Amino acid sequence: MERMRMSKKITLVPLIVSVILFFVPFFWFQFGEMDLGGDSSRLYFYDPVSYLSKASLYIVSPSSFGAEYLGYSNAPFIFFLVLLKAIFVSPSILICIFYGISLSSAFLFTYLSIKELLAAKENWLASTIGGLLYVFSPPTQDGWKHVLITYNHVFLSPLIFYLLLKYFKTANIRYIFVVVLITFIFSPNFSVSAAPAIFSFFPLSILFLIIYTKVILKRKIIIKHIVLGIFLFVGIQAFHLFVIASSIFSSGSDIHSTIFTEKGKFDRGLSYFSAIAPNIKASFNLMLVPQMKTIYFFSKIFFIFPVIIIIAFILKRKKTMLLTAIFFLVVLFFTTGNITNIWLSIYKSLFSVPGFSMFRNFHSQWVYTYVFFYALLFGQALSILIDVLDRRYRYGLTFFLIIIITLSALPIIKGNIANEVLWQSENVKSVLTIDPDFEEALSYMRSLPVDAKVLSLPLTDPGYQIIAGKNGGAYMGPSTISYLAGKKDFAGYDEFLGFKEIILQLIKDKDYEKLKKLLGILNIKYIFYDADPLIYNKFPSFPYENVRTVLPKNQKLYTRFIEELHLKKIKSINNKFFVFELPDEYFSPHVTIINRSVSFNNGILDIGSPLSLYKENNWAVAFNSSELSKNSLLAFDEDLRNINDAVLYPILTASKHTSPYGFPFVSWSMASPVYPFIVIRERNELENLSPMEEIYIDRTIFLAEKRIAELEKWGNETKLIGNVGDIGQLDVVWKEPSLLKAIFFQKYNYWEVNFLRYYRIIGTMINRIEKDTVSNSKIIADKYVINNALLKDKENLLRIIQSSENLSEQQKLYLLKLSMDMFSFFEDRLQVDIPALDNLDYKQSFLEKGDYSVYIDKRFIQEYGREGFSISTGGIVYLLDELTYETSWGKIPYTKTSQQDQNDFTIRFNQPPNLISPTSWNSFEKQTLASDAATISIEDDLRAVGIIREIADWQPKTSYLISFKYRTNGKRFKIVVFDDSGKKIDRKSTILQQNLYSQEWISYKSILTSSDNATLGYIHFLKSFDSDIFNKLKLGEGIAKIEIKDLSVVKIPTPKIVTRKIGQQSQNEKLPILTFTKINPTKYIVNVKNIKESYTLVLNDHFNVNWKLVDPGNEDKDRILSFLTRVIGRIGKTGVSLLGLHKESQVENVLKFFNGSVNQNVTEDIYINANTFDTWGKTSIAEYKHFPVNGYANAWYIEPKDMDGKTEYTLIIEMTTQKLLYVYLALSVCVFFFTLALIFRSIFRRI
Amino acid sequence: MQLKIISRIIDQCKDNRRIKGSLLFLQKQKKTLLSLLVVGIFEDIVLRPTSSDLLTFSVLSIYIVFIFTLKIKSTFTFYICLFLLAISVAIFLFDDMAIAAEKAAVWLILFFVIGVIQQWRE
Repeated sequence: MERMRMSKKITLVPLIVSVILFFVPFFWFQFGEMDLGGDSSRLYFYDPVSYLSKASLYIVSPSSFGAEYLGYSNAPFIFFLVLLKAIFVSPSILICIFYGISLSSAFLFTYLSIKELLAAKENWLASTIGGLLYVFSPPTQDGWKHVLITYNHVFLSPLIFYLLLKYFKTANIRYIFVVVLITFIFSPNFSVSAAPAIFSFFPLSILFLIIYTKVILKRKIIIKHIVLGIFLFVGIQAFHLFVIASSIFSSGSDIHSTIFTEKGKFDRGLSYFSAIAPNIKASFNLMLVPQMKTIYFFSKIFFIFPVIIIIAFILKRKKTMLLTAIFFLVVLFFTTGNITNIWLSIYKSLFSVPGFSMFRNFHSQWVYTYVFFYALLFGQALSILIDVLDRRYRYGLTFFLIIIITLSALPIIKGNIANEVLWQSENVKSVLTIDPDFEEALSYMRSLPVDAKVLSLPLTDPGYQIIAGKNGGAYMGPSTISYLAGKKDFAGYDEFLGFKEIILQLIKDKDYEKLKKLLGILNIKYIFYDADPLIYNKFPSFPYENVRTVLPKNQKLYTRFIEELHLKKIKSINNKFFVFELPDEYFSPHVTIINRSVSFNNGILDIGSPLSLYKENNWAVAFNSSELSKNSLLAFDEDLRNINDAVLYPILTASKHTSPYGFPFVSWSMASPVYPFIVIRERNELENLSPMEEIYIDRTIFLAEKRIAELEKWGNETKLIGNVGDIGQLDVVWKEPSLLKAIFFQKYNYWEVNFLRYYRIIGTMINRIEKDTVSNSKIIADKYVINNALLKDKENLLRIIQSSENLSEQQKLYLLKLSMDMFSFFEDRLQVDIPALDNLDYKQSFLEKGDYSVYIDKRFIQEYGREGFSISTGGIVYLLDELTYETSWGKIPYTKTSQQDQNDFTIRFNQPPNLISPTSWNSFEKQTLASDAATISIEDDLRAVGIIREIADWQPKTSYLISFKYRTNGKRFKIVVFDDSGKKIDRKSTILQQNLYSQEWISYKSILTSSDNATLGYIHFLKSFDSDIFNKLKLGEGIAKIEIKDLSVVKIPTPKIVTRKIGQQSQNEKLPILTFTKINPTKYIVNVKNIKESYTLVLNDHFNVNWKLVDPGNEDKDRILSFLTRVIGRIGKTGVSLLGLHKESQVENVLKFFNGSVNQNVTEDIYINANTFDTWGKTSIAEYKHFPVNGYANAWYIEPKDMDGKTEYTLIIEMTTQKLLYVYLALSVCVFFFTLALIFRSIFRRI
Repeated sequence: MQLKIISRIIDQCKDNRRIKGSLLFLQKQKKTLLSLLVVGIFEDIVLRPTSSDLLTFSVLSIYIVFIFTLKIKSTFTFYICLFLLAISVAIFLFDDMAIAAEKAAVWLILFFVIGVIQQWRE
């Protein structure tokens, strides 16, 4: 009787807890309220049908440029939601159900897992508390805020762990089949976007279960079951696993570069890891306290959990608990990182493993696995404690534990965590009830006929859209227009990729004509404007922080700004939502034939040049900023070249360079026995770096700077040789020690050796650059970058030596001299000759024979004026009067037909104005001041302010050349150049800071670039403090005195000069007539008529080599793969016909652009029908003439021979990876039904 | 495997008369030695602001040697863990960002690792 009562309690209590947890979320929201926002949004709860059809079935992104996309892995889950929505109707209820399932299942299956591991009936209490600990543990509570689609792992991990545990205990394969089916429904959790959660949980969990089965249960593992399970899993996940695999292994894709390139592994991975690793505390993890958050005193009571665990180990020895503890410790090491330097170093080295960079945000990615194993271990430990405790204490302890867990979970229970105020908003809640006006606007957007992109205003920074709800809350997340209306929408500045700066600049300059042209080139036809004041005025900062510096400050001004754009209003909904249309003359259709193809040698940042040069809008430019070799198969109507000064330009570019690696963080002292191994690793890395690699200089400097970082961190423990005259001499005598010598005699633990190693790394780098670099201008630029880095290193090293606590003054002087001599040696080697600005040669090399026009930016001409400069070309000097002006250009009447391979184009500046001349010195020091010369003498510390002078006409983002001669008579002075915007809120930016030291007159020259918003610039000379030991280095006593002469600050002219080779003028009558039909976002049928000669076809979607142009009438008979594809296509066609998917595209309307030369058939999207297979195994044409244009789009240069000289034909533009998706999706569905059949079979067999 | 080799070496050493004598002496001084070790760790946590792997792993190596030579049970290791947890919690309650609390937690984790392996072998 007692037993029966106990047994009922065992099943009832957890069940009641589970039911309570399920209903908790129903109290979070009012009826009709939803929280839909977040990074990946939860719009699929609101309208799963639209989400499935617009965003989950295709391999092309539904937003912005339409790049390749991984959202198709969500398809089964969204389909599952479609079914649930059909039952529950209300999205609000659906959300609550899902939250409820997550909470209750997470608890229930953790409870069951602990119970199974304990294998004793009286453990329900410990298991229940373990389950509650998993669900409510403070470190994971933040996960409930704006949950991602992959957050289902919170209950899937315990669920699958439990099912696998049951399998290993019973050998009943049905558990494996159920696991496989679950993984299909929740496939987003087994896709690449959930990789960190998968790899942090499943490998360790499965290993745990295998060891548990073999060592503790002493049962056999049935290999054939495991193999079958793996096959079924791979088969059921094929639709995304195999498709993503093709991306992973194709070089050039984003995912490939993240996994395999040095940039992905170290820059994005390791450097991020290194930045957060010092902040993660082992003590917080042990006591289950959230990291990097304010700790309330109440949370500190969680120390009770590790206490119970340790006491349990003292009380009883249990193998299962020991095994759990081992896995708990492994996960603890991974989630903490910062447990001893050795582990941190091993952890860092794991980042060289391809793919490990997914753990860059390691704590968040391991914490769920950690909490799960913590709960398992704690449940077992508590069970031991409960066994030994007296009944009263037992219930007292469990009651206490339940209370503290529940109290810490109050934010979840009360729903505060889901009902948060949106970040940086003025009290706008993240929960909203949908406004019917918005639903009408969304429906209108869905119905818009032109296949074009949309610009959503107000524009945000990161690509979020904000929609106000009726209850005063708001949605903040990815664009609803993209994900629910199926129009590729630009909702944020960041989504414009390379165009984002230009767009803001054009708005800032109020150059709306050029802005509209640019929007047209980006295939934007519609502008959606949400005028609700809540969504803009109540968000003073995020997500508008950056764009608001240029775009209107409030909704009232926004309305005025839109009026100034002169767009055509086509819809207004309740004076809240507006839709505007960009006039056709600006618009470039989604698929188009261009009448002018242009080759341009400059980057996308200079798209302003073609935008202002071409009046019509059906042109396309192939940008070529990285000096890629030109594809000889392509022919362009025009050749556009931006010409720069050959010497000055690389230096200017290099002066703006910043290293991606930052200053190094070091973990090991030179005295450590591990250090010699690090030396070997770094030596190998340096040897494997090639000067041809983009990262060569930055990485080498980074490794050299580690020597300085080591001295900064470990300098006090570093020894001194003490008798080295010069690092160059030490280089001759000091040999790399053997490993044993290095370990036992700490051969690297000397200041001078660190100097020497720095000297060798930098010396070798300069040698290799001089030897291996072909281009002279690159050598100059590289040297300039190195020189700038060395100047910073020099300052750092001098500071470290001076601030060292363990060095005597004499030792400091000795080290200062050594380091100064070393840097002087490099300064001599890196002499970068900055040319004078009064005679610059803008040369254009390798011009082909032809006619040219030369354009100069009108703003430049106006700035320098008639007297400022002269232009000569081919020996003829042109006067400004002879220029003709077109829009924003001055045109030189210049044509050249010679066959010379080099043509000079010279701009000569008569006398660039010295910006120092109109200003005067300010000083409190004893001084002698002239207009461009000054002498200051400083006698005591109190008056060390120095002298300051304003630089006239200081402009933002502009380069200046500063030059002067100086003599400091052995004392150390400093030059600082700083600027500010003149506004009180902005800080001053130091743009140059350098020490000056000399006995003789020295010439100083440097290039500097002003800050983004600066309008005032200052130059400041000041003395280093007397405490500066450097002052004692040579002269010792005496007054500090600096003499300066010939001071000049000159703005570096950067004229935009473009040569335009005029080819055969394209004639509209020669252009073919194109009609395109959109089948779906991955397929377009293009009908071309009236073909007389070669033309360029453009698809205005993100460039991707997998977009192919297929001739449906031509079977590819040369390749076996094409034959197989045709066979699969035929099978597919039969299957689709049998399923009755016969829907054909019905033309509803025909839209005409460019006077009918480009037409669009308006149709509805069709995901699959018999025609889907028309292109399978057919020949793709112009594959090698597929190239990117306009900075993002796809273009094909098609010659008559590509289509056997036909004058009319039909082509299909298709994203070929979509075909893989069809094949593997079919395979996955088959495996799903097969697995289902296996389950039924196993059930009926038992019966 | 490595642990087996170590214990075999120790067993062989035990046969040596001089080593036997030394071991006997060590066993007599067991409490003193372990107290010194614990005090040393306490000193490192509370008085030293930096952490050194050399020191940490030297102490842990000595403790592992003690486990074999002085026949220390896993229970004792867990008592050390409890002691370290007490230090960590005591400091943590007053200042959750204190370096000493973090150092104590790291010592605790390392001793916990030893304790778990020890108990598994027992």
